[in-house]
Amino acid sequence: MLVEALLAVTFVAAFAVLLAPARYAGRIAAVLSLVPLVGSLYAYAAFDGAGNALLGGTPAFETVVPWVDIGGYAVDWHVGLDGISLPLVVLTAVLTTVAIVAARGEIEGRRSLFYALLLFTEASLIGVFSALDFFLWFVFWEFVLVPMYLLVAVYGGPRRRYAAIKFFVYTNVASLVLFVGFVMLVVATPVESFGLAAVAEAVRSGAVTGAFGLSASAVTGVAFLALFFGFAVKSAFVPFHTWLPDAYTEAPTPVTVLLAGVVTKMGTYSLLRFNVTMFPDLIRQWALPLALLAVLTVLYGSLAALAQRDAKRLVAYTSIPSMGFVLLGSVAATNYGLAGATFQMVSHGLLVSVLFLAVGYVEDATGTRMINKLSGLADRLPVTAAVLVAGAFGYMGLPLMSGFAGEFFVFTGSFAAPYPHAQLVTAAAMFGIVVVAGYLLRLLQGVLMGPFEAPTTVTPRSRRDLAPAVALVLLSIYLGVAPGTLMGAIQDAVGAFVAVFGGGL
Amino acid sequence: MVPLEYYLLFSAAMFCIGVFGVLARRNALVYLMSVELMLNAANVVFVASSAHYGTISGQVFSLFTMALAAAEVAVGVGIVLVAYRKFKDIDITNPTSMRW
Amino acid sequence: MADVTAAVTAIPLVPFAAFLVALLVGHYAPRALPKGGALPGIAATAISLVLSVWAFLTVGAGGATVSQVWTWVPAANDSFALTFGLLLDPLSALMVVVVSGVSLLVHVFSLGYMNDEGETGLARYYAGLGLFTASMLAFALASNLLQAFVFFELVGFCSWWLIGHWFREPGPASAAKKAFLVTRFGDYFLLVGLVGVLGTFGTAAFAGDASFPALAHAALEGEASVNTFGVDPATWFTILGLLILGGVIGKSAQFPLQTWLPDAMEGPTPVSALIHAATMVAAGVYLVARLYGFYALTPTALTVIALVGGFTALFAATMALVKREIKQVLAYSTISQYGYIMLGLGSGGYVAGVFHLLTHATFKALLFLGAGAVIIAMHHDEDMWKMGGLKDRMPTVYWAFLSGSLALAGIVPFAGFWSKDAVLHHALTVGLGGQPLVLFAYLMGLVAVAFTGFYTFRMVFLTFHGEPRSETARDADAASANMRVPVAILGVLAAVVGLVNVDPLKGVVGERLLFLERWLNGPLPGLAGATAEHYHELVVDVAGFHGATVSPVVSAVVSLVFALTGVALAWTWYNVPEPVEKTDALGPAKTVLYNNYYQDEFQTWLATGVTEPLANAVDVFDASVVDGVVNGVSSTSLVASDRLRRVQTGVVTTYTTQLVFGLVVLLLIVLLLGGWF
Repeated sequence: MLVEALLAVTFVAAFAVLLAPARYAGRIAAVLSLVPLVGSLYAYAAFDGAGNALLGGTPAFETVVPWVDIGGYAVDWHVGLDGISLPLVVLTAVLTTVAIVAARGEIEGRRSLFYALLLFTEASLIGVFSALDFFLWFVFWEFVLVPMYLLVAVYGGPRRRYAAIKFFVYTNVASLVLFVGFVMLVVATPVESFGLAAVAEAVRSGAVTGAFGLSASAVTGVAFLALFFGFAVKSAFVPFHTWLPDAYTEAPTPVTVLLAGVVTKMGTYSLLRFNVTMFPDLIRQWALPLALLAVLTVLYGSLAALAQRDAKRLVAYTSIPSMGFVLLGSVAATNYGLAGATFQMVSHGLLVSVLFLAVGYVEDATGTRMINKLSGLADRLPVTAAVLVAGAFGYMGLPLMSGFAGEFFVFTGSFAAPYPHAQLVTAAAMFGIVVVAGYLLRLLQGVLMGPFEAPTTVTPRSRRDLAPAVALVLLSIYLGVAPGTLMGAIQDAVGAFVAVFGGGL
Repeated sequence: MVPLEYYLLFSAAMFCIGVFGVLARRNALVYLMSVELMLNAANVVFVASSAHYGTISGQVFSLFTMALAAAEVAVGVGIVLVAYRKFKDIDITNPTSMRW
Repeated sequence: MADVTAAVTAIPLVPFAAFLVALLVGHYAPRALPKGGALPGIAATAISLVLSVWAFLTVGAGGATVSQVWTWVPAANDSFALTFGLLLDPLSALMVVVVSGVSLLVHVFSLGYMNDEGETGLARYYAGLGLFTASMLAFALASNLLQAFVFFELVGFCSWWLIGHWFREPGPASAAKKAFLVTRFGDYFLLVGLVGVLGTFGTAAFAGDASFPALAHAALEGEASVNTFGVDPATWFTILGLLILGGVIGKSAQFPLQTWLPDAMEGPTPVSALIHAATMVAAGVYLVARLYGFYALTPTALTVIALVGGFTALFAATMALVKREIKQVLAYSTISQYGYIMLGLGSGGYVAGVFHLLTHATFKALLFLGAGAVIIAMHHDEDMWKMGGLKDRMPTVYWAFLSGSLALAGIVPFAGFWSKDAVLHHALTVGLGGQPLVLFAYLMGLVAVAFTGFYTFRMVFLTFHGEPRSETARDADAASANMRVPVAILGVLAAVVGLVNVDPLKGVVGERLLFLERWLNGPLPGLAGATAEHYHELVVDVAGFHGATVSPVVSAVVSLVFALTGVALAWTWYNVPEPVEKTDALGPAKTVLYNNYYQDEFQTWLATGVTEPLANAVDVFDASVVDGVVNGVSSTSLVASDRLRRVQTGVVTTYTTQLVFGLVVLLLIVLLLGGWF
């Protein structure tokens, strides 16, 4: 019942904050968001799941309640957490609290609605990560879209309407395609429910039959591509990425934290849950082209980031290569590849949030975020500078921070992947770490070093405002020093994949 | 006994007169009357078929149509009055804002 | 041996604590931090030094050990665990003593160089030094390649931090970025190599029977099978070795990735002494020594190491000939000297390479600290042509600097003579023993000896001899005690440290006096694979490097003659009251040398002339083509709907007409399909 409690508390909190007076909405939201945070940490501590929820494992906090029946297909209320979803639920709760605290002084009008939407997003995200039934999952998946659209469109920067509509249309098209693809797959498969585990089991055992005038292999192929397209848009793999820089740049910092930290992870998480879990044969067959897409995403995203002059937009582009690494690890289908992909999702969520928060602090203090207008802030904003340095170096893969761990696991797993030329492909993708270092170092040099000549007077934020970013840095260092704490559960959940794919590192 | 075909032809003629009125006349009241003509053309078919097939349902339907026509006239005349107040005229090509 | 493990773990942890103290106290209560963080740093490095010496003695008493300290990732799903551990053997024990010793002296020196000069940001400075010392010690003690890479990167981060200490100036800011970026480029190859090692062997351990060098040896002997991804094992191991070498070349500033080191001189001079001369730059070659059991298996990799080393030794020495700034001369000499270490290791001379690593750390730290004292006396003017006559102003520094210079030039009996000649002798024997490429590398190294003698004494004479050539030089103050003491200690060491391995006199004095060789030879119970003896066997048996018999005395005399020639030339040209720039006679060649063969320009061009336009092209492509398609779809639908909505005029009659028209069309369709016509 823990998952239900988390969902209920968060939804109720969202409505409570909506009704709260604007003056106190922030504080009330911050306090209320601690409840799901503590709840998710309790879930982490009391986690007793084993194996992979879709591959015969026993998820923790599982509930199955028959819900409705659609055309002979049972739709259940089926939720539960395993080693892949649990870290993401904790990440969601952490980043929502961070976003709410970071929104202090950031949002001018309609505060109650703002905080309510943040909490509503959190609840929906927890739903996405814990749902084990397709319909339930899809309902939450679409739920996320609505508050995100409003948060960008109402509270965003000057080009907010463009960015919000772009985001909405992109992800809605993606949702439509993946929905059609999955329903087609289910219709062509002799199953009696939309339970993800049941569908996965049936599809993997080759029970798919031909339908709609297509052969069985064509049905699986089309379904695979449709799902992949849907998740690729959400995770912003090149060339489906152009919603990302606009949405990230126009959204206010707290929203960007949630958007970059968790919402893109929905895509990569679902990629693991659907494509990798259900179509191991196709993953193996198409590993090389998919890995090449990952390389393209990494290198293209890095190069595009190198050309940015707006610090926030630069950080936004920085997310693209990281998602490429997740894809690279996912298609490698090895222990370290898959576990590393999951770990990288968490790590990227933490570090990208640190960077966005730091850029937000700099913008608040100086009134600009154009790199060529900033200079020499290192000792004017010492804590912000430290956070920016930590975030940037963490992102570059400085060891003993989580970024290195995630990327290293992905590289280790990908290097030994069974598809042809995996070594060369991995080495090509790894070159991204050099380009990443290039533009982040330039960002640091431009913003922190040089003579002090910021456009206006610099007003440092209070320590309390900086606390969330510092906390995230410490969390990232903790995960970098002791990744084993997460990797234990993750590797347990990944084991079933590895067994499916027939071993590997 | 008048054969059914005559009724149908009569009804079609009435309907066409109604269509012509709707398309060609600009006076809102004549417009409404033309709509009445089309409705009654349908009523004629209902009643004639009812007699021809010996069932009662056609006549029942014609009663429904009459009620509908009454309601329609009530609303229609209301609209005409509003239009008159606004334009001091009941030419139906005057109101042009009924679009995007 | 639990107490040994705990004590050795403390060696890096104590400076790390000093880092935390400097960082946190420096932020929250700067006034409470004694000497801006210097005292905690000095205390911590002193404790580390004591512990290191104790560890050294423990190893001497047969306590070499490898132990696991921390499980980073547990093993699961038939995969391997990733762990951190401690490898305490003669090599790492030697290294931690050197690192903590130099670090202690640099901390003390910094009191004079930074504190007494009233620099700001001291807490930041000492925090950086503390983190660097901790990372470097942990690197030296690493028990596997992953751990080594982790701390390899951390020292790179500290290097960025400390080079950019004076972040207000444009020079240090750019130099910090360049240093990190160029070494990161090398580290990229190292990371690929590391991932490859893990993929191939399933372990990255350095020592023991299950270590990857041992597995590689067994695989070559056909006694074990490893996953070489379809490549012939010998070729694959060479590829892995060369990939790892990429990181070495970046960190140890070897050709072609040496350009960052001269720029790194923008940092405070004690930092240059600690990081960019004695320790961090040594991390690269230390890694080669650490992996010697692996490199000794592949003659190709060894030859590449020797060639890179020999070429870099000569190449950097030519550039040092014409520099005006004292620290620039030292920077190029550092690059050149690490070239010698590479040459030694690459020609199979493990002991010779490690020996030169040891002596170079001593005398180069000395030279940098001496240069630092000179720079303070000159009020941060580094141009040697504005110095002159400083020997009367600062005699202690002069004599110590002279000792270091004699060591650097390789004059008997100073430290550099013994170690450099050990390297050259080894390269010569192997070269004559049937390795022409190594012989070529030796010849480059030999020519560089003459250059070294010349530029070293050009520097000494210009700085300390003759008449003062500027007001500042005339009024220079003697160095303060906290600068003189470290310089003096190192001055004495530079004179005598070479005696630990009087290699050229091998035949004369007998094996007993070759302390370092005996030290590295072991025997090591349980760690037989990590002894110099074992490495030598591998070099001979597996790599096939057989040495010709050349008397070490002959080789030593040859290189001594070369060195003295260079010194003599410098003497005649520059040990005069009014020296002139004799190197001007080189004409355009001097311009090329002074501009470092335009390599910086080339690399800047790579960054701004190739990568940036490419990035901008991607950005434009992104905005016009990829986003253009997206926006095109959107604007097409918007335009189309705008056209289409004009059908609605707002006039009721139009709508009626459309309705009737629709009805007629529908009727026609029904009738046509119904076959009425």
